[in-house]
Amino acid sequence: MHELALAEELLRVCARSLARHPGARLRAARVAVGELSAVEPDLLRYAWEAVCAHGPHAGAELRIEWHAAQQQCPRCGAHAERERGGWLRGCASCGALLQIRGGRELELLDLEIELAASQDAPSCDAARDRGREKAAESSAPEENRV
Amino acid sequence: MKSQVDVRQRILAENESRAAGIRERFAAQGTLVLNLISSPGSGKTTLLEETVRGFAPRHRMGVLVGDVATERDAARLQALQIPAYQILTGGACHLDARQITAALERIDTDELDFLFIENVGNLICPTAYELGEDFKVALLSVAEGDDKPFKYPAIFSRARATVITKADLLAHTAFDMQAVREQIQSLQPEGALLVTSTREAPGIDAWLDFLSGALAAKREAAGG
Repeated sequence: MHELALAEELLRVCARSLARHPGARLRAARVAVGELSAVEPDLLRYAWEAVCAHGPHAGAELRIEWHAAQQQCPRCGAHAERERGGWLRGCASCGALLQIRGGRELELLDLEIELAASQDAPSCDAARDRGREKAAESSAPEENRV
Repeated sequence: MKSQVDVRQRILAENESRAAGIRERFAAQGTLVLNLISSPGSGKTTLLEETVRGFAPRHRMGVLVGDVATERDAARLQALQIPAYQILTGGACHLDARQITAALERIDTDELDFLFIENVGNLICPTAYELGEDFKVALLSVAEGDDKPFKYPAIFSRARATVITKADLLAHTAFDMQAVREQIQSLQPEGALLVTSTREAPGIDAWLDFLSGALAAKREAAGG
């Protein structure tokens, strides 16, 4: 269960990127996780919720892009169709031992952030900024869904 | 207003950069660094004890060993008159490069031919963390069964060598060595498979030869 340590590290990487956007709120982080990365996506998601809870990024969503490993025949080059979590031994076309490739991704791809009102519209006065921020927050959950 | 920020950074980039620093240090002094990963009880410490007995005084060796609790493993290795330091993780399931950097302050590794890092017994979590090693070695004891490479593909696809331990048990189990060989071949076509026992033949000569070859290759590549 190293997903908790990974989630903490992920949050640090997010925070460093966010620091370039003062006042911005983290809405979602999109990560690539490979089948051979030794990371269980559900555990990473639970760990992410735990490390974000009660902090400034509470409620930020973790979107996981799953990358399956591929099985390919080294002799005839055929790609094998396989079920997730299972491995085939021989190539269906020529019988050679299949090779397992890819699936090592463990990367933060991008962030979805809500810009601070002052960045959004620098000319607005402070009261209007706050109003806009509140409006953006209340309408956020619907437009944020994927 | 919503905005998207591209990041494209490996989550463990900071650990990887620390690991690169460790790798650089040991490249400069020609020390081969190995990260040994296996489930608990597969015989990592026993293999290291026999390695020390087999190589001393020809080679100088040091060990960093990670465990959740007890200094037992470091004590076993210190008894063989080599520098060994116990890293206590206090519950954590893996070692990271920060712990290795800190541990390197505690033992003298300047003149070593081999630095062995014995990871916390666990086939999953240590896989993701680079420690500055030249390569990873996975251990699989006969008693664990012959289906483990496909069950734990992340580690067996990254290990340059898989060491089968407790081969003296082969006669008492249905362990299928050819099945293991095929799984390793699928996961890591360049990977070596070494069969060892510290109780009876075939012993650990193939492992010692493999280590000597890897050390010579590293030094030759460095031009030394």
